[in-house]
Amino acid sequence: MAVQAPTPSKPGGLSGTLALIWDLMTTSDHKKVGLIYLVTSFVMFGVAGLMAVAIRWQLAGPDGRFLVGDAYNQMLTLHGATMLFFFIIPAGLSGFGNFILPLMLGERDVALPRINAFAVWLFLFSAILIYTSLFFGGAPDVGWTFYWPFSASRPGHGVDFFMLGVLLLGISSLLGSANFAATVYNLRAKGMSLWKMPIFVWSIFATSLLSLFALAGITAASLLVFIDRKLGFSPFNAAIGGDPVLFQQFFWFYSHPAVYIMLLPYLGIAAEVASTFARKPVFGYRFMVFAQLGIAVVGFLVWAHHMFTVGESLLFQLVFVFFTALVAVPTGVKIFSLLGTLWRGHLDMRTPLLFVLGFLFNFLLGGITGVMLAVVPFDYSVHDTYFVVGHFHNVLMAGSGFLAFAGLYYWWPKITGRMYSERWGKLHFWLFLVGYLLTFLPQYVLGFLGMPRRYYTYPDGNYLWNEMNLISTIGAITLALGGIAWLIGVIDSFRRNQKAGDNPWGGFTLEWATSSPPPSYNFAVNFPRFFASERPLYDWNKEGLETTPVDVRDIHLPAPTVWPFMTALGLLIMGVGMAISPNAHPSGLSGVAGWQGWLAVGLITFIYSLFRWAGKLEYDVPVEHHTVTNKSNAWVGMAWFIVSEIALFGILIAGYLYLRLSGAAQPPEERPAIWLALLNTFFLVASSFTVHYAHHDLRSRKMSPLRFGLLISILLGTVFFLFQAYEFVAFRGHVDPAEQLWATMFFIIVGLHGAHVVIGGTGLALAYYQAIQKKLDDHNHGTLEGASMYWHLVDAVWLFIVSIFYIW
Amino acid sequence: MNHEEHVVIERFERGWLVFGIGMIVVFVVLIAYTMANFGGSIPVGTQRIDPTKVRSEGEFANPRIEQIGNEYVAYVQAFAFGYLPAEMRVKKDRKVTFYVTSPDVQHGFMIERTNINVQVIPGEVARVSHTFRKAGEYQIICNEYCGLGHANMISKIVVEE
Repeated sequence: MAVQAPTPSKPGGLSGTLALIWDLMTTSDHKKVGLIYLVTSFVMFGVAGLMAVAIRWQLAGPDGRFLVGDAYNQMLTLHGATMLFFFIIPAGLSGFGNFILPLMLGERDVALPRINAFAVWLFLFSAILIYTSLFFGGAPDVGWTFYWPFSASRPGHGVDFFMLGVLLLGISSLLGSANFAATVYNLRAKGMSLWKMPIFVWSIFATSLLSLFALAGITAASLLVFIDRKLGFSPFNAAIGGDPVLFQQFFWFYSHPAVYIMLLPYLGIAAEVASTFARKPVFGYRFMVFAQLGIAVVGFLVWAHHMFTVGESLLFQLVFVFFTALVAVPTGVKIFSLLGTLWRGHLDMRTPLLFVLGFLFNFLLGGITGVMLAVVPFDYSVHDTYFVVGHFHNVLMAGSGFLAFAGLYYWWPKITGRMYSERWGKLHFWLFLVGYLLTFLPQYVLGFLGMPRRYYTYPDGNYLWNEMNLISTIGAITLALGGIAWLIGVIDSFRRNQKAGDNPWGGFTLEWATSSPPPSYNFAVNFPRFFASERPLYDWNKEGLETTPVDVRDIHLPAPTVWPFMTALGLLIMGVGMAISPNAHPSGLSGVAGWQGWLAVGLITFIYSLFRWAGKLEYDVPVEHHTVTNKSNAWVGMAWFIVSEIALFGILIAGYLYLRLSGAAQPPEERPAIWLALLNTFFLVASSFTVHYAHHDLRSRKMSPLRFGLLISILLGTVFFLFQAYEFVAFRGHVDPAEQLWATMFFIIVGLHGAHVVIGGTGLALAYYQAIQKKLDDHNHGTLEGASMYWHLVDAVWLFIVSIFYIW
Repeated sequence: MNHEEHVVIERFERGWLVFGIGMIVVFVVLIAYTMANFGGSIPVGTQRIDPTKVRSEGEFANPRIEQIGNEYVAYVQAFAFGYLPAEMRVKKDRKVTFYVTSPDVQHGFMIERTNINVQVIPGEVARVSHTFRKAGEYQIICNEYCGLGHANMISKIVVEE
């Protein structure tokens, strides 16, 4: 949108709330996207918090009757899933990340604004999808860990909704992370090198890389559970030689690094808050960055400490003990860095700093109990008792949760343009601190006393159980009161409407160099190109450097479009249709009437919106963009996204290799014909060349050969797909994947590749559509660039698949 | 900060780094020693089993505890929702080896007041052993979330003089 004509696509006659909603639906402004994330995740925090109070109410005394049996289990599952997937992960990474990161980098937008808008709606819709299960026979009740085969055996469609919600959320999360990585790589104020970025930016960068590498684990786990439920075959099935432990390997391969995805953005916030309110630079900036990257790396090597009781070998366990102890080192560095930042500072005891101090003390407790759990013999004693519950709430609630609020209070003036009341803020903090201690410290004791987790009730007469549980419930109610104090503080801030200045705390990072709230174009100035440290405002002040004003009429922002929203909506409708379709497991679970209708409407909406989206240029006026790497944003974003695809195929193929080499998965007598595979290889490799030359033609502006090349590539992809479909039907005719492990792996991995051919082919079709519409030129070729890179990936993966499935 | 101060601080830092890493090594070695020498209570996955046939074929079709010489061997089914055998009796100071598996979904096999805590996975047989030194009743409970009756999965082992 050109600045002088705000929201030009507004249909006539809309006003007030409707206009606001329309504006949000069509926006690609990173601040509004960030706001949607923030509002959703903090509302979700409230919802899941109330569930926690309900759970504690049931456990307040022995033999509670408030929330019994499956109602308790559903509540427990939704509490865990909501807090993790819809509060802790998105609030810091996507919420504050989207709002603050481009500001800190001194930029006007993120690298891929429309992908970003798509990601935020997909995030919101995945939450809606999971909660939609309530209208189709009940919420999932399998715990947020959905262990196989328990999750495959549950009646009702709750688990189906849960799995699809997790998958959609995963796509959203990957797109969001690729966008962040591309933004940090490509868009920084001129002169700002990587080592001059604020700590918060580093933490978002490290977290994005972590999700890009790790998310494949949960995608694989949830996809395989979903396939088992709908199609009835699974590589975990021990009856045909599969390995049930493999599920946990997949699941924890993501879900432990996820703990750091839940923590790192918040550590960045803590560093910013501590530095601002202690009026000192971050202590040991470089080491802080190394520590963050160190956590991201070591975080990958600790997943099996969730599986000490599974019965793995001694050496296997010891390796994970070592890395689990080791990960405490960079975490310790971060704590020391925070202490060093605060040391001898002129502490300004405002609410954000109070939350950081509360975090420091309590997170240390959580960290130490974590190291205790790393001691395997001790772990046997308390595994799956309330000790573990106390531990992870210690880390997540008093760790990440407190810092989420530190960030909220810290950036509240910047985001809303209003000051908040310190009185309510401090009351909120103290109620949270006391409530938190009362709730979770007794749970450590309960763990030692042997109370297992996930029990909806307990009998009278156990030593101290009644007392400790009662204290814990009183603590939960105190937390709820703290939540009310927070809510009142928010309302109070809006009612008093005390305007915030540009820089109320005297911060030195670039988000404080614009008005509160920032205008849509963020900055109407050019910054000096001098960056001596990660605190540019301080350096410029010292050197006497000034910013130079820019005429806002020269600033161009992406045009608003509703199609990313509609595309995500199509996926939501499709998701409902898929969830309520008939199941293979548990047997006899039939579909809900009309599921085909949902699926068809969703698919049509999705495809139609996708093409409309591709048919609309990002900018209304041609603009030149400066990028740091000189690569286009689409190129860098897709490069990072491909990392996640490689991880997904990598993890599944690793599972296949394990099953094949251990002798469990043996190919059947009659295998899919190799000549067909080789023919298909020829088609796919040829199409990679045609795409390459088509792209080449674009650079030399030969539009007609470009269109021809794209068309040929799409046709070759289609032929490949049809041949493969034929092969699948033929192979399925004489081998049942539910009975044969090799066939199970074949259908899963080759089928997943087939799905990627469809996705890649759709991408090429979008580029072809743009070419026909004359929307494709050497400035606007992001779709073609991304699609052709993706197509090469599909090609490369296929070569791998041919060698391990057809030749071997 | 002058040069000399810097050198002193660096020496301190190096010292603490060495100390920190040394402690991790000590920590891991101690755990390894404990696990290797007192590791009876560590569950070991011994073999694969077809979970659909646990109830009808093999050792687990007849869940029992039997005395072999001076020791006990127990074949235990953990199912939704309970354990078979429902109650076990052993003499104290004798080694008991448990083989546990599940015919349906994952369960826990935790014996109170001991270090035994097994995740029972359908399709896998876990082995774990323990010598009870004190007579009395020990409850066995499930701590892997397994559904509606999760909290009611209780069995016991009675240790006699």
